[in-house]
Formats: sequence, structure tokens, C-alpha cells
Amino acid sequence: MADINRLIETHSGKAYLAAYRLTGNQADACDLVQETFVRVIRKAELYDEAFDFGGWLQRMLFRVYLNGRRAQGRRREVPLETPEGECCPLRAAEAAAGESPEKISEAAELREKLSSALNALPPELRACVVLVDVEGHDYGQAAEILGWPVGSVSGRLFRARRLLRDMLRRVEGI
Amino acid sequence: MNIMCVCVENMLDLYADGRLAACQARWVERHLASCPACAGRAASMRRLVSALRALPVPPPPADLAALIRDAVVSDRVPAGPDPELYHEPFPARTPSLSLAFGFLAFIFSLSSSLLGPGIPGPVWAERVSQAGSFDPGK
Repeated sequence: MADINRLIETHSGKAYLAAYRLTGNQADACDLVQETFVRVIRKAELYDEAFDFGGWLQRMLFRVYLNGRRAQGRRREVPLETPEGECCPLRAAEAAAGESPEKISEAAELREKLSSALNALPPELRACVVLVDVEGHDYGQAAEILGWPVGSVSGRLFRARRLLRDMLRRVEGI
Repeated sequence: MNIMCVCVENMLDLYADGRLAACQARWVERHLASCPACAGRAASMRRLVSALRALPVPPPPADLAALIRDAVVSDRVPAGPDPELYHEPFPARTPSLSLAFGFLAFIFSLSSSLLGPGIPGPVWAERVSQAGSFDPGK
């Protein structure tokens, strides 16, 4: 149990970051991280200590996410209001940094539209964007994490960027 | 937008990710230097990627590690559908058994034509005696 606690303490933060970018909200991100750890612990006998646990956890996280989204079909749940504390700290930090109210408002609007556009992408496209554009992995690493050929990652990323550009065509700053 | 712009637009993603061959990358660079519209598209793509990287993520809840530990200990995340919901009243039939039943039903439906009307029963004998004698020619 001590080993499991150590793994949770070490890797839960990074897993949460990826989960939040995939799901778009804190509650779903926490559920995804929990489910991923449960699956990883269930399959602990398959783990070889010579390999990187973080990479294995990340692969599992993306697959749990994609399988879960497939099971849900096209159903999307969008929170009516941003939960308290999810965006306010950033606005407070910008205000503290001396930004003008207009700039703070514009930046907040840009973030909101970008998040909405990202949330509107199909799960497979979104996973590619998160891995390559947000986390900075190259195509080969993304393909290994998702278990797809490199060509599939490349094609899906192309479609995802095209969709994002279409959705954000009229947004200033993009 | 001319044909060159269309070609470059389709290559911009790969160019930005450094996945073009050196000669292709030089060709794209030459076109970007001479075409303001395509240069604008390339700049827009760079801005989109940098905006995506700058998207904020709120800090995880303070009790995230405890939640994960609880989930791991009790293993409460369902692995799949509850089997009781999918309980069948009859045992599942294998395809070969279903095929055998189907074949038997088919043979049974053909049996009257294969075996004929069968052995005459007492009702038939009574009718024959009432008619006097059995003459198939009449």
C-alpha cells in the first residue's frame, strides 16, 4: 500500500492536468483520474518496473477516456455555470499583475471561446490536440500513447486544427 | 487564392510541426515570404497553438489523492455492466445447436411429402367398407 500511495502522490498531478484538458471540467477530470488509477492497480501484475510508470499511466488515461466517450456516444454534458474557483484565480492573478480591465476581459473571453471550441471536438480529435499541441508531444509519441498509427494521428490532428480554426475564425487574437 | 496557396495551406500543419522534407520546407518558406495571405494563415496557426498551450488548468482538489486512494481501496469504479441486469431466463444456445434444431424442423416439415400419407387408420378402413370395395380407379 505504501508503494501505491507513493505512486498516487507522484503521478496524480500530471494525470489530473491531462484529464482536465480532455474532459474540460474538474469533476469529470477527477473521475477520470480515479478510474485510471483503479484500472492501473487492477493490472499491476502486467507492469514491468523497467518501464516508466508515468507513461503507462498516461496511455491508460487516454484509453480510459476514449473508451468512456465511445460508451457515452454523442451525449455531452456541459455545465451551466463555471464552478466556483475554476477561472477566478487566473483573473485575480491578471488583476494583481496590473492588467487593464479590458485586457483581462478580452483574455478571459478568448480562453472561454477556445475552451468551448476544444470541448466541441470529437474525443479522438481532441486527444490528438491535447497530446501534440497542448502537451507538446511529437507525432510518434502521441501515436504510441493512443495506440494508433502515426498517419492516423497526423490526419486527425489536421482535421482537428481545421475545425478549431473554423470555429475560432472570428475570434480576435487567433 | 491560387493553386500554390491551396498546396501550401494543406502543408502548413506539417511545416509547423517540422515534418516536411527539407526541400518542401524551403519551398513553403519561399511561398510564405512572397504571399501575405498564407503568411497570415501560418501566423494564425502559431497563435492558435500558443493559445492552446496557455489555456489555464485550475489546481486539482486538495483531496484528490485521498479520493484516488479510496477508489483504489474499495475498487468502486464499475468495470462493466452489472451482470444481473443482463440475466437471461434460458441458457444461451450455441450456434451449432440452433442450426441442428433448424435442420430437424426443416426435415419434419418435409416428412409428409417424403413418407406419404402414412398407414391407413381405422377411420379409413371404415370408409372403405361403407363404400363397398376399394377401387382406386373410380
